[in-house]
Amino acid sequence: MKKISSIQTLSIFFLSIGLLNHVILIPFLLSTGGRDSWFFSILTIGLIPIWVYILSRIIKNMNNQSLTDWLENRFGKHIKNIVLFFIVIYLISLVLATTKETVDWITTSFLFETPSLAIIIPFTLLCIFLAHSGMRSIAICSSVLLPIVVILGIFVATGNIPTKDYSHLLPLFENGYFHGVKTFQYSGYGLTELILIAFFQEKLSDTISRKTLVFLCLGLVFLLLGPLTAALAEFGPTLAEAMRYPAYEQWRLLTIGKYIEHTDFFSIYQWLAGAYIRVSLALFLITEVFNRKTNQMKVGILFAVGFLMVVISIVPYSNFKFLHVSQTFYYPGAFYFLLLLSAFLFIGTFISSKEGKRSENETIKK
Amino acid sequence: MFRICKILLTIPLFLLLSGCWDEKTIQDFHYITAIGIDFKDGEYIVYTQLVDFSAVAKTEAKPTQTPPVYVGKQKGRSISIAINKLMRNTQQSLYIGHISTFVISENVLKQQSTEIVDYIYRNQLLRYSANIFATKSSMDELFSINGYFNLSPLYTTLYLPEDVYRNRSYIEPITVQRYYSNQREKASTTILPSISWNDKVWKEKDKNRKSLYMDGAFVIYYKVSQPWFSEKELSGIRWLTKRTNKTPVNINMNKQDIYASFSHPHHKVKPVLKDGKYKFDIEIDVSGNILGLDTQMNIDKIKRKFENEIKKEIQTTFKSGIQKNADPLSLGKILYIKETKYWQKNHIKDPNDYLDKDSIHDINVKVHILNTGGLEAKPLE
Repeated sequence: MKKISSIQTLSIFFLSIGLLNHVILIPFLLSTGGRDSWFFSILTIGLIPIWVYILSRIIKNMNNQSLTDWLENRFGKHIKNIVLFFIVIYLISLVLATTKETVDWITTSFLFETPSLAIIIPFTLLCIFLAHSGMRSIAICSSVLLPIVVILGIFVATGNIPTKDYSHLLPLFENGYFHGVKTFQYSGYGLTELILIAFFQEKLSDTISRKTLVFLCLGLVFLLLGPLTAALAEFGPTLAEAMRYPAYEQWRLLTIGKYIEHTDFFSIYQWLAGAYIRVSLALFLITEVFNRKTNQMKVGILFAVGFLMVVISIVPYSNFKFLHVSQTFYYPGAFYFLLLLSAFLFIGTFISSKEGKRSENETIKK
Repeated sequence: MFRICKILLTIPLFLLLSGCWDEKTIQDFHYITAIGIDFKDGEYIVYTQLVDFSAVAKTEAKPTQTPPVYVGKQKGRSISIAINKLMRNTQQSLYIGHISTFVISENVLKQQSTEIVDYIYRNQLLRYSANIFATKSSMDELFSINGYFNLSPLYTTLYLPEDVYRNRSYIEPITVQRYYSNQREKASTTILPSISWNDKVWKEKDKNRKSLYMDGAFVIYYKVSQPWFSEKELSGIRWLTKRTNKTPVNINMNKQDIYASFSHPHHKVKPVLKDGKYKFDIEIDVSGNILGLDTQMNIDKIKRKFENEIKKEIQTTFKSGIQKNADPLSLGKILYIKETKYWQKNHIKDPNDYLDKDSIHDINVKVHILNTGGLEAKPLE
């Protein structure tokens, strides 16, 4: 089997979780935490060492077995099936939430009159195609897409400096010290999603080191802080809280000199690159869950989920209702689910394998 | 087989992703370039300026005729309704995505409603990088003034206030984004420049030429007060503005004038607790160069005199602010950030709740004279 390197893993996560931290979660953070949200997001850095320890222990313990094998060895067939069932549900919900968010953004921001089918069908087909091509294609694809996304990100961050007034970040704690505590469930969500590494760690050519994991976590927190503080500095807390797409609005602000404005089309590339990798990765992981699959089965699964993607984006379910549901139920729910799952896998590392033959597992016994 | 599939997959992508099925050409639209909003008898009155598309770009050959400018006017209970009424009466579709200036009247400011900010921020075609002005004069007249030398209005102060500001920094022009982000902040004061016109300065042949200029500003304390100040009354705020690029000061010594231009002042405002009330220490550090020197004076004495002049300007601005329940120096924002608890405990709402005529404890100005222009530091014989 062809392997991917840990650098490629970095670019996959910077794109897929990057979309989450950099774009999707920003409105939730602002509306729950307001001005204090950036402070609480910085606090998540303190949790990184614990999280990296848990992650690296899980990855090391899985030791190039696939998730399904590892679960079966530790917990037996029944528990494995239950866990995998929830994982599949989670991955499908991830695909659908990302697709819905993307299509909604496109139709409210620039393609007002284009039918959503014309947007969603090509997008779905592309994602299915990439997911079908396998992990290595996803890795290569994200390594190609990421550099331009980064360059554009630096461009919008620096180009907007004249419009930023960082005095809007203060004063903190206007509404009491614990006003923004709830933002943890959003700022932590991006980090907990790193547990997805465990789902495909057997495809890595080298073990991902703790240093790389720390770098990845810090990078993701930084990705969260960038547009969050910028939105506050540019629009002030009152308007930033009210905005539906605060990260995208920063692109609409960007002007270069006297004559160049309307540069927001660049954001389409950024968002779609992130959504493309995020959805494809999740689709791929869904197919991975099923053992003993034929190619036909794989295509069938992909198209079934693809059908759901199309359905969710043409169902007339209002954007603001979706916002409410995802803010109050979906993202916090997903966060707690991933926490539970990580805790479960972490416990699994203390259980000795049923086969009990492999020497590397002997070291980890309670 | 799979290869054919791939090719078949890519063809629709070319067509769909480029979005070219619904192409519109630029001459199919009327572009609104500026929008003016007035309020009277419970209705918004919206003025729009339409500029001929061909007059937008500066060309090599100077235009020989004044470009046509159309000003539209409609009333409505909301801005959207008024604009919709305008659409009924246009010959091609109206496009609002290129509005680069908003002008609002004094009546709208007094209204203090969220109508305008809602309209601008909700609409996905409008840009926050547009300029915003207030005005006391009539919008019809403002919008019908052309640029010099038969250029379109796009080459006037209404659209390019920065050009004038860079050379003569008194009142900083403001964009929609900066205006609303500041205005909505608690304890914050926003200076909204007001635009006006006169025909007394420039002449074209024998006719008086109308030109636009910023005559002062509204000092807005959200939901409390929005008084107007003349440019002279506000001359103190340029010392507390980072972006001040070139700003003139004149002093008089021995009945002779000394004139200098200053740039990029650094300022620091510190609230200090005195007898249970906060007062403010203001520190200014500014450098400039002398551009007119009629009298022989010790350069240190000149510096002192400039320092006093700047101090006086800040005092005057502060005092005229108090009279109208306004805080043009934005002292409240600093107090609120540094002493949030004190602010909340005392339920401060108005500028007059935290300011009185002794609120400025100390102003410390430091002037550096970098050079004296092309002549030495003495007057001509």
